[in-house]
Amino acid sequence: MSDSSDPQHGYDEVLAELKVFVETRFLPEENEGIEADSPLLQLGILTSLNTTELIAHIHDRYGLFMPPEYIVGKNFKSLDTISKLVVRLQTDPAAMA
Amino acid sequence: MSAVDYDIGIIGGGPAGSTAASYLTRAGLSVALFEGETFPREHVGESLVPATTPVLREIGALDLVEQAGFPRKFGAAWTAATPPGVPTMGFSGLSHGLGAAEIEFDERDQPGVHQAHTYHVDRGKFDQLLLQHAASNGAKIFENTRIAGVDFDGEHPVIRPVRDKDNGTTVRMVVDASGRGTMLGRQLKLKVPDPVFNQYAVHTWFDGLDRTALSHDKKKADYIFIHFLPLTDTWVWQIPITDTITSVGVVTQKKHFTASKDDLEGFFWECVGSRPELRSALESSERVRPFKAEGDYSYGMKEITGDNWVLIGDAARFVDPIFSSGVSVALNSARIATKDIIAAAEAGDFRKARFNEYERTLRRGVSNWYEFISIYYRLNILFTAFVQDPRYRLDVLKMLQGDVYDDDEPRALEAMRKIVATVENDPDHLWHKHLGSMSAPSAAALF
Repeated sequence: MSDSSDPQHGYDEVLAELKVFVETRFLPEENEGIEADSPLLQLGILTSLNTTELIAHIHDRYGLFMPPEYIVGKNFKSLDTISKLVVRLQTDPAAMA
Repeated sequence: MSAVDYDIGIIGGGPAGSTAASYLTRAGLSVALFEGETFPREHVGESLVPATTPVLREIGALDLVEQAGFPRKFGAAWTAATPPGVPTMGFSGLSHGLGAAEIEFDERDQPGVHQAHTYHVDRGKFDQLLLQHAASNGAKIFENTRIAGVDFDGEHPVIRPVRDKDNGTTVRMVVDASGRGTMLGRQLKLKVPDPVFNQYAVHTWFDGLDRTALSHDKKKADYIFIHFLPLTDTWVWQIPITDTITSVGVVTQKKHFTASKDDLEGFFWECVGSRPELRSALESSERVRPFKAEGDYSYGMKEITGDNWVLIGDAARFVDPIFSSGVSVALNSARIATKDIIAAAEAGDFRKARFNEYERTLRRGVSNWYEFISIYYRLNILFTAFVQDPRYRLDVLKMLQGDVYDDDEPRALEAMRKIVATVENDPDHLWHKHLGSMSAPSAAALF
């Protein structure tokens, strides 16, 4: 499922949607929510393994392919940086493959 | 021209030898096949890939295999343990340890394949079925006849049995299908240990293993399962043999196998113990065969063809069992080699140049396999990511189907190679710490 024909998704919308995904998918119920700048990698919420699941979600939800060379710490360290990456990818030809 | 006893002599009655015998006899050549054992006998390598299907159909054995009732294999699944050492805010099981990747063969149309399943086989039964089929096609089968060597000094090769060396069999050419025994490879000093892989396996059969306990999707319990252990480059195969019997083996690099040869059992349980859910499922079932070890099985050959001889199957090359390629390479190398052999027989010329097409095609297929296996060990997570990536999934599946002989440069391999380089060169890449210890130069193909 891809809705790449939709208008672009803005930062606030992407952030809110990814927050829900990461919290429901990678956080157990008894845990507190996470903030935009929570260090997901440092906290171990995002691992290199479940990152592939997040990347698959970004493809399903936004129709964007994540070029593997972008899967680096500075892009995935928080919801803030991931959301900015998703916004940026919407105009990146490498993500439209 | 001096008389020969048979047109073609085949050494070894496993799937490579019996398949070659069927192709050659069906083309009207006379064939003698020498097998050291008396069938049925046990053998490792129990899971097939769909590239075997067209070969089995061509030699007229597909219906026999289907009727024999082997478990049908529709797909493959890989599972991984939660990586250790990551702070988890007091909880564990970020990935629940199951379903890291899975594929169904039917997702991609494969030329010559008209069924969604391949098979898991008891090699005792499967190999006997193919050997009997070769006999029914007219091949003369000599079981319990180990071969000491081939005498190439005269006008025609003479195959000499261990027990009766003076009483050789004269043939126009020899096909070595002796498996890991590598009869001609040793005699002609062609064998080269693989520079990167030195794998080792310990395996056995369990009765009553609850395969559904290890599968998150009960319908897929009869897939082959590859369970990755949280030990470097170590994994476990889980292959259904019957409704209740399951083959289980641990594969690791030989250097990790530090225990004594007498303690295969201790080594096996120590390894599977790193995946507690796997160990407990195995402990609730009954082991029905002794533990068996396979070593020294990663090698190539300097040459796979020569004047009056070719090597096929494991006698030509074996690297690693990870993608169930063994029987497929055996059957397809027999298919490809016998094309050249039949043409050579028509021309009455069995010199090396007659087998160029076989050598070229097998080298291409095996090189593709080799690089795929190397990348898999070098950066396992990349394999998982590619299986999940719609841009590459079918290209990866093509290789997993065993459909590797017609492609000079499979698209997925080229992309994987680039990404491995990116990850190797960027310590900030999230996959950097997942780089495995084995690093193979892409030009490592032998023969």
